[in-house]
Amino acid sequence: MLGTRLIACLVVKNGIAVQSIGFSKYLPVCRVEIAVEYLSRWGIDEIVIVDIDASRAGRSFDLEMAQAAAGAGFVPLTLGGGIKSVAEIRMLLKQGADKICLNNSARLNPGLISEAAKVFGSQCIVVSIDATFVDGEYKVYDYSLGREIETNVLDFAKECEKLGAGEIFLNSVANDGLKQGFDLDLINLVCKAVSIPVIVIGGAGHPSHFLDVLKQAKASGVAAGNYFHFFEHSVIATKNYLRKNLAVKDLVDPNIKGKESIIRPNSYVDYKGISFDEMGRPAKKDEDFLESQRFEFHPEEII
Amino acid sequence: MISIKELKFQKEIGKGIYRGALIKDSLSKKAKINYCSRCLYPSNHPLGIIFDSKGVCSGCRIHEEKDILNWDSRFEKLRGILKNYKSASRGQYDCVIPVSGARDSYFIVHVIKNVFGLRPLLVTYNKQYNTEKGIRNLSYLRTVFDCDLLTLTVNPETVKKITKVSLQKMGSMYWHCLAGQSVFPVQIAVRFKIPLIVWGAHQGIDQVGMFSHTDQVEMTRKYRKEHDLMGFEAEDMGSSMMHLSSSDLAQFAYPHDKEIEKVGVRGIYLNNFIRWDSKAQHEKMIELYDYESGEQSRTFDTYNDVDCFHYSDVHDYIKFLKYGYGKAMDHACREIRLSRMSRSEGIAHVMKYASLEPKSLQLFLDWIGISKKGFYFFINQFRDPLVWTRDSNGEWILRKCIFDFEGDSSSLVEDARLPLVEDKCEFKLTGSRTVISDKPKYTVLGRGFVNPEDRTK
Repeated sequence: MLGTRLIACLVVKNGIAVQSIGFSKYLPVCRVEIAVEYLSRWGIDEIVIVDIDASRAGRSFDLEMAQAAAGAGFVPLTLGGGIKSVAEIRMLLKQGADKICLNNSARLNPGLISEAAKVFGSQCIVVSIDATFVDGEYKVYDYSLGREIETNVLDFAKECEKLGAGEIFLNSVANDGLKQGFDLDLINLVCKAVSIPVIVIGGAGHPSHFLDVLKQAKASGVAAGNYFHFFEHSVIATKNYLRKNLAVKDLVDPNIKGKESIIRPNSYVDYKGISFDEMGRPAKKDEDFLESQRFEFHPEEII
Repeated sequence: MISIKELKFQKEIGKGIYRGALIKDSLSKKAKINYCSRCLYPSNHPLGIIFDSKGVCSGCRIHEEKDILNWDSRFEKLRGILKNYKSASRGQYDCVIPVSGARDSYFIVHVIKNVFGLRPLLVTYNKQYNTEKGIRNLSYLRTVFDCDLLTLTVNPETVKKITKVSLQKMGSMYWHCLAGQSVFPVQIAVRFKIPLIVWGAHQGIDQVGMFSHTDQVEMTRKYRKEHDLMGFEAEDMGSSMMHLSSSDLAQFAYPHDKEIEKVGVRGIYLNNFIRWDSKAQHEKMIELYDYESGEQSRTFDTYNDVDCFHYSDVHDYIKFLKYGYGKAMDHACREIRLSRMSRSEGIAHVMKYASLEPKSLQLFLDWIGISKKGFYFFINQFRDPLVWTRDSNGEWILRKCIFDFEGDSSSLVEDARLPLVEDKCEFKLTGSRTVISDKPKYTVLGRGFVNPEDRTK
């Protein structure tokens, strides 16, 4: 059993990482390579970078950005945005990407999924699906049109799996950027419909939202776009929150034996034993502990 | 597309983070600059800025929250956080507050000490470019709030070397100030095991809407590296040419992650919990504690940066030479968003101050020991090609700036306009507690005994 991955998604607009809110409002956050550098340091398991301008501008993912991002971190990197051909995928992999992510192309040219999977292997091809709930069912949302299309999300996810996609990156348009939690119904439906790994995103604002997904669905990875930018060591703290609050009996997957196996291990900086305030941020440590630290030496991590 | 040769050139200059990205953006986006249709901010804002379909910038959109959010309940949220940090048993400080002789210092200490009753340790990084007024404001700050104050004065000769390197690497005379101000409080928090640092306004939120107030963003090293340090950590500033070693830079180095974790250091920003209004807050501080304001050479705001000879002067002029705008723009945008200033008044202010030559340049040049030509040689390399170009005589000219939008009454601008809530936007000039010498000289701090005659040497 692989641990559930915590994944950061960097949404790129105008060449910088932004916060995305409801697929319509964007806030500038930072340069992509700085985000990659710090997320790696903070113990993220994987990073997905999606350039949301690329398709609309009719260009592919910026190669220099790919190179800068790959050089800044040391975790698996997935790149998406404007990718239309096997040749473009090859270029991005050469810059240091581990996987690529198709959204527009998967809808408009599903043949590319199987073609790319044949060349690079399924593990390299992620299909990103944006879902929106309309008339009692989840439909695929086309961000370039700004509205849903007729395709049912579950049908589309199954189709992608059949074509050779190795992973589904599932976003909820309605929950995006609201910090109110993930769409658990959607996640459960898709996770049950396909047997390939499903990574879910859309709605994280508190570590308990990650916990809800772990408890109630079989997602292979839980991702957040905005949330990890909010505080220092956000990833490590969130992992500890999950360890602290997750009981094995809560899990829907009967194959999981111990909870250590569900959250991937932390770095040298581990925030062991912390408690959390109501925002889910690390709370003040016990005063006796602080007192005990007065003459403690903590060596720096040398890699 | 950018050529490989150009790319190589950028990579050589300072790891290609700051300047490289700047050049690339400017060249690749067909050199088009936009301005917000509400405030005046340009699309080349160094913190990054996003415009929506109405042409309104992310900063203005986030600023709208100031009139929407329930600030009473946010204030209670702050009370909840601070309550936990009030030390019950240790007889220790409850939090660290970074202060200077100006800019929100009085307000932050007022809120933390007098409103919430915490026991703060004040810390200040000696930025060397001190005015008498700033030092006096700082001394009275310590006195009227009855707090302890820790000062870090780095050897001026080291600071000069660092500043020469920062001029060369990023065209900044302020790197050491920003690095020192942003790291000294963290070092103290780690060393004294004080787990909370209280900051005033998060500049990313206030200027460009980097985060919603409800994100309750906290201090990160990530933000510091990109925006305060312009991409250059202390470790990147070593220079064999300048004989700058890592021990010279130790005071500017961030504590490592394990040290931060062990103490659980957090930095919170008050503007996430208090409806931030710098002008009103300073006026309150003048009324309560006789905070001294002072005239600034390159902006109409008399409250914010009275502690420094250069912040609103040479440093701000450098910003104008790089990005085509300066402090007057920041302050005008702020007042426009707070519905105290009309767009046309704002543009008039910007036009009045934008290209004014700095008054204190010679003072800085004498201190650091470089010539005026050398200074401009460094700075000119960092002019953003999106706004600056050279004419046939080699003179630098602005390609396009907010002046071109004077009297713009397009439908976008009209739709975005906020109704004024105050007719006038006036900044007070307070008196001074003592007569200030008219010779511009840095006020020395942290030198122990000084002869009265040498007071300002």
